[in-house]
Amino acid sequence: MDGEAQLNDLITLILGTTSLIVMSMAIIFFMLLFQKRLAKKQQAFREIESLLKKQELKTTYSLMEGREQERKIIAEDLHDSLGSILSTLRMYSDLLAEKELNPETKELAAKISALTDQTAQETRRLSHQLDAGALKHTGIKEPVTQLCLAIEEASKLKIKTTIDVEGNLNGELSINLYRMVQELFTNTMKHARATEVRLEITQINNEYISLIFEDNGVGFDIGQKKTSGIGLTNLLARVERFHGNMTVDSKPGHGTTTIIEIPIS
Amino acid sequence: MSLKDWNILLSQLSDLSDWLPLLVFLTLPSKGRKKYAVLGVYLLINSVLKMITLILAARSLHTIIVYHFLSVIEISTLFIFYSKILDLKKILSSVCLILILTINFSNTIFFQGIQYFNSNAWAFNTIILLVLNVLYFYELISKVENIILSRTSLFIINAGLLIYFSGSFFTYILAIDILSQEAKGFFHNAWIIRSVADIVKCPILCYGLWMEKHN
Repeated sequence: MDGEAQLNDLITLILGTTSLIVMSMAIIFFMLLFQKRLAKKQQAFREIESLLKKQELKTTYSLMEGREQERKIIAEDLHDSLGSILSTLRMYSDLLAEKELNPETKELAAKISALTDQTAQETRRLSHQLDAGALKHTGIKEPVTQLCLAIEEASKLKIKTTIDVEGNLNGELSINLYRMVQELFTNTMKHARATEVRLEITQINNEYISLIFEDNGVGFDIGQKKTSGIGLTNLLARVERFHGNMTVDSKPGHGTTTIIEIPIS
Repeated sequence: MSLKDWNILLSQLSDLSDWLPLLVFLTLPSKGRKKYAVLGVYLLINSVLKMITLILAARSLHTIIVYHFLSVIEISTLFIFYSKILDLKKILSSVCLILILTINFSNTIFFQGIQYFNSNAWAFNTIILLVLNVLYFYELISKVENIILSRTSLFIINAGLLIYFSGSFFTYILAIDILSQEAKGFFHNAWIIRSVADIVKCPILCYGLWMEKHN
């Protein structure tokens, strides 16, 4: 092997090896850079998604707040306007019953009086149900207990309730807690086919309210179920509104447990 | 120290360097050892065979025959390693491996002979492994979104192997001339390039395996 051939081989060796190594390094660095850029893009997408989600929840909450206002107006109308008309009607029917009339007319007047009484009671009940603003004055315990009793009477659910809340909570928080409980019961009655429900509302150290709602229904696969149902979205919107957090734990055939924690401040 | 001394020193270091990633491999939890079992076998046989070459060289005995075994072991184990990574069909990978081994044995028996360094086989094997390595990177591009590459053991290990393959490819092509008695000057010691590529490979493999342990 002569010197020139060796020199050529040496140049080939050095240039070839160098270019191959440079190419390899380029591949490795390209992949690292490519992945970093993708990761950055993904992070940006995630942030946008999270913002959109928050915006969506805010919108949902605003809609619900609007609905709450409407309910309040209807409730006030029912209570003030229809309530007073019914009271007047009751007064007239009582007056009529006291007059010297034939027994048939008297009986009719008594029936009108009884029916008016019943309608007034029903109107009052409806009005209170629509206007959760009453909670501002009554606190959360009484209305939730009443709600549970009403549900127990109307359905086959057995409800075990524990409410440990000191004093009156902020009016808005009370209303929303009440609506959350309503939403949870609606979900259970609609989908869970449960027979028993355990509801616990506890105030912890004046720092936050913990709401535990557990049913023994059919449950669902959290991994498969989309959490975009109106019920859950509404619940989440209310929870987010108060910077709280919500955890749903469920397995097919093992019921569902929803835990909501809301800071009181 | 002369270039020749450096060449001998780095060559011996390269022969010993595979023990390091092998030790890291042995400290892996069973899940990691299972994942990199083929790589572990490669490192183990490589380390033992290279140790044998060192002992033979120390006793002034012929070492070339060991390199014929080494090339077959390297291509077999790393080919299986890449077949698993790339999820190649078993029939396809078996046929390819048989073909590659046939070429290796044919080269030893009919072309270069067992008394000479099998540069053709080494160069051919390195091309195959380079292609498989680049194919792995190509496949990785499609799912790169969901992983952090700098913490992915397989990516790091492949980067180490890629540097080793690309650093040693041209040395293998010209190995017959480099290792001949007629080679002069730097060309006579050009084996140093392969030794360095081999040495660089080992800490990168160690880091990759260590990442597997800590992820």
